[in-house]
Amino acid sequence: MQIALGVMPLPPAHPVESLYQAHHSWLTGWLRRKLGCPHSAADLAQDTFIRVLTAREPSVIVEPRAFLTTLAKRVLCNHYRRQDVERAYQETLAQMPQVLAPSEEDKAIILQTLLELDQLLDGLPRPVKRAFLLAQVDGLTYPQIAAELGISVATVKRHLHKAALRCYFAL
Amino acid sequence: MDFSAQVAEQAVHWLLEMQQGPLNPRQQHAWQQWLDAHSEHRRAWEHIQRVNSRLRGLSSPLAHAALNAPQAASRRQALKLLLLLGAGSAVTWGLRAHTPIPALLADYRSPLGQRRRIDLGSGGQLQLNSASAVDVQDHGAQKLIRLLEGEMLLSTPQAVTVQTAQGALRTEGARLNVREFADRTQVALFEGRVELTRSGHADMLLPVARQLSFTSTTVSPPQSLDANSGAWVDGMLVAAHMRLGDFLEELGRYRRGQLGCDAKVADLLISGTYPLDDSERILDLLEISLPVKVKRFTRYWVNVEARV
Repeated sequence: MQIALGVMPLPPAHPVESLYQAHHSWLTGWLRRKLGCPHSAADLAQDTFIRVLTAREPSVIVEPRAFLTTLAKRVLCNHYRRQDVERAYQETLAQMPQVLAPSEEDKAIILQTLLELDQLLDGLPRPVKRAFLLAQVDGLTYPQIAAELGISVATVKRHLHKAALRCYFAL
Repeated sequence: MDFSAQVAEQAVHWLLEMQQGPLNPRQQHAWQQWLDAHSEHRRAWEHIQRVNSRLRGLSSPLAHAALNAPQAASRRQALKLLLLLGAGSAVTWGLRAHTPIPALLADYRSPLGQRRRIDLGSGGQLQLNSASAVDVQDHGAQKLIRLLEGEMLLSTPQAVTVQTAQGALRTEGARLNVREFADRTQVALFEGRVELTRSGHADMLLPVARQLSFTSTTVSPPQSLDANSGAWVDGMLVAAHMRLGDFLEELGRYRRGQLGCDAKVADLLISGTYPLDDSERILDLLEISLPVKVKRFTRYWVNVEARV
């Protein structure tokens, strides 16, 4: 990807609005080519502009289309990851005996919580995530987690420290 | 709801300390001092508790499967080509916006699988069963106990009001067991005087040595005390011709994870006195006394099925 170094200061009144008007249909087209699905493309284009609104970045945007595709790639990656998480969730649910499956009402809450948690812990190594789940969801003690993962208790503690900062404080 | 990195570090430090076992009195004191030192400390701590309450509501097999979800093979290549972003895309949305679960901020709380005894003073005593929470307030001569979650046994010579989501129980010199269900309160009165008050309804004196359930609008007919009523205080689960399905549901209150029962065996009847502190042993005993098989998918995911 080539980023031209032109600088386009956004007009102060409605910076996002003008960005939207100028590039929304182009972005939707870009997403449709990546996804092959017009409905999702429209949704993800909206999500991308929501990111623009919430991004705490300077109001000077270098190359608006490059900026938008960077954000859109993040949105797209999230979208794929959500699909992966949801598929793993549904597959496991299907294997669970009926009596053990959560109620319909709980299912929606559980999936939503899992998607959020997955996003928060995104990028952490797998053993760190597993240690965190074993501690917070399964309620295992540190020595039990150490035995389960085949690592030392000190490592368990380091993993949990890292995951906890991320999960509770997004650090 | 933003916390400084320093406060976040401190809060996580205390969380990890507590997860390693009960704090000693010196640590307990230090933790309390930290908590009281600044309102931001307390907010950070409450924030952690709220997130944890949501995590505890997750199903273990689903959580592990979902967070370890592999990437769909068809997309791996496509994503590589997208040359994506660094890892630092964690966003702080979601978890923080949810409403607090009041029980987590309760005055007294008992963890899953553990019982807790609280001294009310003047000879009064309150015991909490597994995964229960209460707030205790002093209103002059009157004490108010709010049962937020779970089950409690109150034994006191004083006048105490017990408030549940469905109504209030005004007690005097009574010994009673109160359990909060999702939609009703169950109360068993062993001795003393207890009056049930609900807004819009006449007060009602509860019969001694009987148990009943009430909602904000209805009261079930009183029944004789069930053999298991209050037995948890002694760490026992007492079954007298109890359906296996009900027995396992009861046992599930004291264990982590999922404890299921196949419909084929749910109506088998079981009798006996079982020590709650060793639920694994109870499950082993089931295989001896009933034509069932206990299937353990993982330590936290157990199902009781018909023996083939």
